[in-house]
Amino acid sequence: MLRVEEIEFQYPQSDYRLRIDRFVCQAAQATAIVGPSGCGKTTFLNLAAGILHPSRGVISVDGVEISSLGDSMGATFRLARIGLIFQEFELVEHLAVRDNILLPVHLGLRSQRTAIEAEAKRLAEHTGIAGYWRMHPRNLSHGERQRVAICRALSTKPSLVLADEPTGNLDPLNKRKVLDVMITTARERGQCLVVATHDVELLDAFDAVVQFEELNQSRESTTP
Amino acid sequence: MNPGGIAFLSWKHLSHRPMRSLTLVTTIALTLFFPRALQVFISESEDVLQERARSTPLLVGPKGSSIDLTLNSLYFTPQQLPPLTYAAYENLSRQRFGTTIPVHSRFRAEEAPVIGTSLAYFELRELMVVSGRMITRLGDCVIGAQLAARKNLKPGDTITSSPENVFDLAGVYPLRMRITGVLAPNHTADDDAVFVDLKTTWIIEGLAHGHQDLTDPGPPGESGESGKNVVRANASVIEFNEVTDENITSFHFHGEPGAYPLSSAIVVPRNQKQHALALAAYQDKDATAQMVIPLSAVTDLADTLFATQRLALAAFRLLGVAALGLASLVFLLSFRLREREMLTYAKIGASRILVGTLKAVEVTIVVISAMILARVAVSLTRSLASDLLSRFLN
Repeated sequence: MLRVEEIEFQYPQSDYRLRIDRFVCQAAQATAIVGPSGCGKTTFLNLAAGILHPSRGVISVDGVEISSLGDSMGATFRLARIGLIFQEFELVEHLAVRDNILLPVHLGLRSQRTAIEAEAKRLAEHTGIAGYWRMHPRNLSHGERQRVAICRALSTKPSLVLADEPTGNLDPLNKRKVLDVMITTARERGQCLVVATHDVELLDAFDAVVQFEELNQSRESTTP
Repeated sequence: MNPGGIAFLSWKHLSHRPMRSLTLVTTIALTLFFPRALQVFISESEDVLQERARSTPLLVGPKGSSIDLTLNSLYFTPQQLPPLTYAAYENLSRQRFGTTIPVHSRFRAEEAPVIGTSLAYFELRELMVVSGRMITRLGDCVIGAQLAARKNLKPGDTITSSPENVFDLAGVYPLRMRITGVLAPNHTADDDAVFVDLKTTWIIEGLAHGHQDLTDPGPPGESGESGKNVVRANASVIEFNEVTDENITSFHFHGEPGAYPLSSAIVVPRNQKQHALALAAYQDKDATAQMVIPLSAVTDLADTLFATQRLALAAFRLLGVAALGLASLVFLLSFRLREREMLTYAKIGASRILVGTLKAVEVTIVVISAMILARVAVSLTRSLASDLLSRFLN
């Protein structure tokens, strides 16, 4: 479960401010955060992941207050418990699809290698990228790269999945298919799924939809 | 932290751009290799030069440059030195300073030095005949292994001494020498030399010669005019340019033997006392000959020669520091370009320490590979240096 309470955040030397009084995403719940580009959705996801730290307030995942964890502990927690899908995919160009998906294993989850690899293969089958296992990202289309990023985020079976426009580069058919995989997986495993999107036609698939402008209590609400 | 995973990620990046990685490894390897290789060469050069000097305890020659005398007698380099007289050599031999070995290295044959000496020289240098036999008479020679291979010569062939000046019509005739044996290689100047008896060099010098018998009654007026008790030779007398079994008895010497020349004499004292006595005997400033310790002369020469190379070594080291600085800059730029990749690792769950370790492992792989490459190259240089230097320096 993700719980955000009375947080404030401001980028250094910027007028942008984020203030959220309360946000909760329960386990096995898929929540969509919608809002125009630049309204701060990505910043909120980075705060929820512990990549950015609020100047005030509490962010906790499964009861662990990640905003108070140090760099090393926070990173270890994120690696094991949080799956991230980035807007720009963030695939490593010199690694094959397989190693991109198994990146959490290379970065520290060695003991779970077998389980993660099995799950990665299952997800790759479901998302239709199993045939690209040994290929490098540069040889894949935008949609295929995005699916690799989704597989990487889900293969560790995290309790919280944060996705930033995960279907932004997919065709309508694949959009629905990929989102279904994410939501079904989240529900089956009791994961908390938070998706930032502006794709309104997909909102019906989510359990909850939050307008970001309503969430952010601050008046200055345009990211730098 | 997963050490295997970090090593894997580092290796994947390095192998993804093999040319870039190879260039980095080679640059660092060369930076490490050049100063070390030069050091090896300097050290090996000193050893090679000093090895021959070390096996030549003392040298007696005409007064003048001790280095010129040493180079001429040990390495057979052509030098314009005044000769040592045979009388001086005999005087030295009588003084019982140890074994004395004459060396006369003025002449050349097929661009190789012709060394007039005694059999003791072969013992001193541990030179063995591997093909044929040792010299037994005037006009015989044994040749070094390198010369034999270079000129494709073997026992039974002949080699002719080169005239010192082809325009000197009154000069000595070239002497055709019979090759009786080929010496085993010892990787010194001996490998490219022609060894003859000292007296054979005197034939080349023109101090001895053989010609047809003037008392032999040939056709009148052909070889000379003979009265009752007078034999008068003229220019039609045939002079031999080769010593053969048939004409060897006709060879004879002219002039005062004590004035016959040689280049130097090697002295091999049997003990420390003889060594000290020999050195003391040549302390006199008025003496016409000098005694040289070849090792000291070669060490002085090496110090002078290698002073420049040591400067080059310092320059190489400075260049090395600059190259390493450049390599560090390449790494820094590379990491800067890969900032996004590192940020991805951090976002997924890599701590700052892990990202730092990842960079360090990558640098370490490159540096260790470069060190191994440099080490292999230095080992190869060391194994080849001795042989190469023996060829070039001797």
